[in-house]
Amino acid sequence: MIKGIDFTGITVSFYCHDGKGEYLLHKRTTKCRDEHGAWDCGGGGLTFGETLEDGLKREIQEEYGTKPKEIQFLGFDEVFREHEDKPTHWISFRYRVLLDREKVVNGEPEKIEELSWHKISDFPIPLHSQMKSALEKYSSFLV
Amino acid sequence: MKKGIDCVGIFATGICHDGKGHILYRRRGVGARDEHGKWDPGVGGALELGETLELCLVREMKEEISTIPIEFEFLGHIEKFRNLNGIETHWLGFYYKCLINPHDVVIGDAQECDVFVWASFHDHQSPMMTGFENTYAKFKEYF
Repeated sequence: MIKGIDFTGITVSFYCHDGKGEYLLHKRTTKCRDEHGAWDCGGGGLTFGETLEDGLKREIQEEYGTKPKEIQFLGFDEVFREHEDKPTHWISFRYRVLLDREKVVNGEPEKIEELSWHKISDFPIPLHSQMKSALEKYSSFLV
Repeated sequence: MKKGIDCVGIFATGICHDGKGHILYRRRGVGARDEHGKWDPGVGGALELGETLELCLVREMKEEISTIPIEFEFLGHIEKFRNLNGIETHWLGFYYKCLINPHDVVIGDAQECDVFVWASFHDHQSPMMTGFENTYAKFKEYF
């Protein structure tokens, strides 16, 4: 049974910032499931038995090697897409997270080619296809 | 593949009120998924793959009480971790406040719900569903 295809999957996605107006993005490698070469904020699937907040902390630890200093819940979105001609169904919980910039490392070099920090107005392209709508929806929080 | 047991289950539920300070409590019958004999303050059920939360809410209300909301507002989400008869379950619930016409309520399946009452959200029936205290604490200000 595949999450998001055989049953509705739940994801957490996180916009990590340094408290000074810059956000952490990473470039996806060709080993990622999709969106190769795109810049992404970060995220992953919730596992059974895990709270959303624990899932968020685990994913941030895995990708960026550190713990959140502050967590702000932004909202959730229902995401219907296609992956390799199959419909997918996810509910994605979005968070804005404060990190200690000095402690951030590339925790998943297989999947993350490069990390970099940017102001919202100066995000690199191409962005992950899901980010555009989220950036618009949560623009009042993502400053 | 059982929702809430093999994967995180997702449900939409409406706390249905009559516009005069009463909500609909239904007692769960032997045909309900779980929690037989417990009072349920919501009308709803499990999300189907590919279905939006709002469509799920309306579909479940039609099935269970034969009517749909005159108006509704989203209240919030709750993570439910319950051990039911020795089995760990994990559900993520999306709660709505729904205005309905009490005269339109017809119980769809007597196996799933054997009796219902109208009472204040602050006037709990006994026994309520496991974890109801969290639901009440989170949403009491809306009623």
